[in-house]
Amino acid sequence: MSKLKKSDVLHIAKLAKLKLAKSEIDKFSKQLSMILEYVNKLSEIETSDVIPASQTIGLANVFREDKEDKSRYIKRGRHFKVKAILYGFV
Amino acid sequence: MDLCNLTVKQAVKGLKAKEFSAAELKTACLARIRRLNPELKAILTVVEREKTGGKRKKGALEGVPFTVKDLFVTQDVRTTAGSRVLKDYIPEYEATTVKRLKEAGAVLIGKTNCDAWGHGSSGENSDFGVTKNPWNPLYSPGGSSSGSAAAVASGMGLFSLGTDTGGSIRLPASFCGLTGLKPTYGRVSRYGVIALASSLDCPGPLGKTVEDVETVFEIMAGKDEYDATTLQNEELRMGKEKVVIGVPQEYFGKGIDREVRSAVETAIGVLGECGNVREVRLPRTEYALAAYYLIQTAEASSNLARYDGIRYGRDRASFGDEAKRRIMLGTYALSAGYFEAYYKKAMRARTLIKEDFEKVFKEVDLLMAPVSPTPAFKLGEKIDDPLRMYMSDVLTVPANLAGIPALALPCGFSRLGLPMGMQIMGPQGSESLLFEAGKRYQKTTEWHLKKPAPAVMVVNRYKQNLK
Repeated sequence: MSKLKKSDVLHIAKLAKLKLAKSEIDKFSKQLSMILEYVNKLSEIETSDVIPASQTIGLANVFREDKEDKSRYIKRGRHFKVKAILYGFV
Repeated sequence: MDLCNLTVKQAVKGLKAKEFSAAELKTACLARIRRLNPELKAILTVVEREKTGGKRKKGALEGVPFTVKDLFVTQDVRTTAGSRVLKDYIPEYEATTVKRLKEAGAVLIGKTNCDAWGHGSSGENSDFGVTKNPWNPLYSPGGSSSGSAAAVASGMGLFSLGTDTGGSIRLPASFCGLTGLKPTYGRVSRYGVIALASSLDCPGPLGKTVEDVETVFEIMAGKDEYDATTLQNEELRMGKEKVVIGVPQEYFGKGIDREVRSAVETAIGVLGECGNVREVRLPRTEYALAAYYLIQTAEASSNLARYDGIRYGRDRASFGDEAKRRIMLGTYALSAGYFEAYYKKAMRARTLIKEDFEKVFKEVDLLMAPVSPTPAFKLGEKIDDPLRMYMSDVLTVPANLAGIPALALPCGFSRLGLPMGMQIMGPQGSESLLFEAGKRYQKTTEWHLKKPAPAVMVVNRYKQNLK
């Protein structure tokens, strides 16, 4: 499971939108395989009953009042900025 | 009087007493940068003049020059994150922490060098040159807040801001003889901090003394409406007279250098005089690094997806090797078929590691341990072996996984003259307890008072020895 083939590295690079040179593919597949070998250590611990931790400080539903706050406007002279809405772009 | 060698406390006192002016202090620090930076490469962008519209802000840090790691976004001042991708990026907004410090009167004089995107433990992954340790320029200052530590240790400003995701404040602080705080996750706003791993990143201060670090922390910390992961600035633990100190056995195992172990054990003896010392166990410590390098890289791969070179910055071909490695590792850990075995598994391990700390803090108030298994290593020593470089973080990542605070402070020197540091860890929200312990330690020891010889002199001496 931990030895990465050239095809694996190319697949990952595609998912991550990274262009790799031919020389890099070999180098990275070796290095990543070594690292994956190390992290496989985690299979030693029993975790079937453990809840995955997505955060450590117990916050939930951090909201603010749904009221307009004029101080947040970014002004330019008599105008204020809004996010661009682009037509014809995918 | 060498103004650059003052602590923040001394500078504030001196400015109030009009022993020197804020302009003189700023000029001295800028001159220090001009003299030593070509060799040390600690500063990427110098800020000579600030756009304050002539009004000087009054506050607790009025007139105190400081630097910030180039991961902190500064309005109208180039911010690179140490990467070619953002080589020419000029932000339109400011990080909350920087804003708060400026409002307290502190004067920004530079953006410091760092491993690109915070990816590194030595400063060698910066796209803009390697920062050198002011104590010996052949050695690493630690990373990823390499420039911040080198700057404070060599007098380029009186304190600096760094970020600690897996030890990146504590490691450089300990390699450069400084005090650095990794705060409780959520006590300091991450708004305007270029994200590495959103559930692990902790912005924090580096300084020459615990008092300085405490002063800066109090100004930086606190709930921020722009960062939904910040907590109210409440202390969850008050200072106590007699503290129970725990010594986690897993942090003193075979891989720890003899000199480091001896220095930290001596320090435990010093602090142990005002409390009880007890051996404790954190049984899942050996799995922390593996869990960390899965969670951190997964979050990093997501956070770095925004750099597409379309709206700002250069495109993804400008990423360095370490960035590419981490993005790929993270992408793999999150990909279909591997998500459960890698990322989810690491998240479960994280819960167990956090539980280990919670259990231990029912028996003891604080934990003391080394920061690094070895003193500073030579530049070039680990750069070709990514896994070996990751091992530098083995003692620091557990605190990040658990979200607890940790204070790093100097506790000795190796026989080669390099600083060694220790860390004091506490439960979430216990910064005041960490500061109390740290201040007591610095009242009875002098490690934090030592300064490196100006780096240029060391290099010249080395060059002379070669003839």
